[in-house]
Order: sequence, then structure tokens, then C-alpha cells
Amino acid sequence: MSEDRKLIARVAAGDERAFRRLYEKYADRVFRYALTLLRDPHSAEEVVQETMVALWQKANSFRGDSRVSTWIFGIARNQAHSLLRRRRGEPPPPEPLVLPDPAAAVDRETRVLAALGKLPPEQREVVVLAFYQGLSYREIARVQGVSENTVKSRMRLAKEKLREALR
Amino acid sequence: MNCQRARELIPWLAAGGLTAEELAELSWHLAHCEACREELAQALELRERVVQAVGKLPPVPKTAWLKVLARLGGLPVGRLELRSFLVGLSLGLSLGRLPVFAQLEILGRKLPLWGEKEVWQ
Repeated sequence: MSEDRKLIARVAAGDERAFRRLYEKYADRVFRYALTLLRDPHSAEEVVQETMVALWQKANSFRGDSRVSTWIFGIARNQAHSLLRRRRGEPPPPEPLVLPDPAAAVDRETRVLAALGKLPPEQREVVVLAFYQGLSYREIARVQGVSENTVKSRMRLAKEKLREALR
Repeated sequence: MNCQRARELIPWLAAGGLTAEELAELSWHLAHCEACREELAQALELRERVVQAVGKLPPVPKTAWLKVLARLGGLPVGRLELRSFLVGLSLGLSLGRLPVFAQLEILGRKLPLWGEKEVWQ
């Protein structure tokens, strides 16, 4: 059994140390994932909170038919989309997705973030989940609720656009 | 495996999410196709750049953990139970908004006296 599965089992039994350990392991990853979806730090923090609360309350509903990370990112995605639905009608978040420091505007990472920010959200999500979070296309299909071929297609399109933008 | 199929899988090789069977097929193709090896090199570079760029995004604020605790009404940090066959009393201490929990149990029926039972059960 993987470390994450052991931790989830302990969280389901009410072990707060295991919960803290999972929080430490995933909070930054969920935050950065939510940031790439929502582009707003306050909303991303809210997604982390909602995801972690759901993790504590629903750990015993983890069926074990996926990796724990896939399950957590699925929860985070649902929370992010709920937040977007609640905030529909409010002004859109700032574009593009870049670091706030203007002095860094020409560095390599900022160019990549800017290019990511210009991708359609579902393509950006595939790139971040695959390359940064290490999910397979099968896992991403599960998180996004689409077919594996759709995920592959999104990756192909995203890769072409990023290659063009970063040339 | 042809080049079209190989190029569909190459980003996922770079990301590290292929099955053993896909990996074996793709490896064989890559050994014989220079153009796809170049494609793999580009995918690996792109992956590296995405990892570095997303890694530069700020971490979650330190206060987020405390907000999670507050949302849960406090996490238990200690528990004392006194029980007999007929009656039990649980006293708990937690971190967060409602730091004290008490519950009386009579003939197996739990009666919360204080605190948020959801966190404790």
C-alpha cells in the first residue's frame, strides 16, 4: 500500500496527524493547480480549504480505485468549478497568468506562465496536471470527466501552441 | 507503431504516465525514428520548463491550515474516555474554534454535550 493510501486510511479513522501530513504534501500542489485554473490567489486558497475540508470529511469514501492524488485533484477541480459557478457574473480574473513581479517579466518562467495563461483552460489544465502534477492521461481523463482521446487531443493542441509561443 | 501514434504518446512519456506496454512499443519506435526522438527531446524540454514555471508560482499562504482547522471546528489533540457497560463519558481537547468536546453515551446511544461531533466521530 502506498504512503498516500495509508495516510488516507488513517484520516478516515480520524487521525489528525495523517491529515496534517496529507495537507503538507498536497496543499501547495492543489494551490498551484487551482491558481492555474482560476488565476486568483484568494480563490485558489479557498479551493485548498474546501478540498482539505472535503478530504477530512470524505476520506472514508475513498474507494481506492485511483491514486490518492487523482482523487484529491478531482475534488479540487470540483471545488474550483463550484467557485466559478458561484462567481459567474463577477468581473473575470486578471490575465494573463503571470508572476506579480514586473522585474521578472522577461525571465524564462514568466514567458512559460504567460504562454500557459493564453491556452484554453482545459488545455492548460492538461499540461499542468501532466507535466507538473505527474498524472497520466488516464488519470486526467478521470479528473476532467472526458475520454482519454480527448485528453490526448488537448495535450497535442496545447503542445503545438506552447511550442509556437515559446519559439 | 507509426509516427502519428508515437507523437500522441511522446508527451506522456515525457510526463511519465505510460503503461509498460505503451512504453515498450514507443521505445522500439524511438530506436528507429530520429524525427520522433527529436520530438521527445522537445517534449522533455517543455515539461522541464513547465515544471520550473509552475514551481515559481507562490505556495499556499501559511494561514490556510489554520483556516481549515477553523472550518472543521477544531481537530482533536487529546481524548479521555470513562466508560462502563451502561454509561460512557468522553472528554476531548482540540485545536480550533471549539476547543472542548464532551459526549455522554448511555446504553450505546451517543449524546453530544458540547463541541462539533462531526470532527470527532
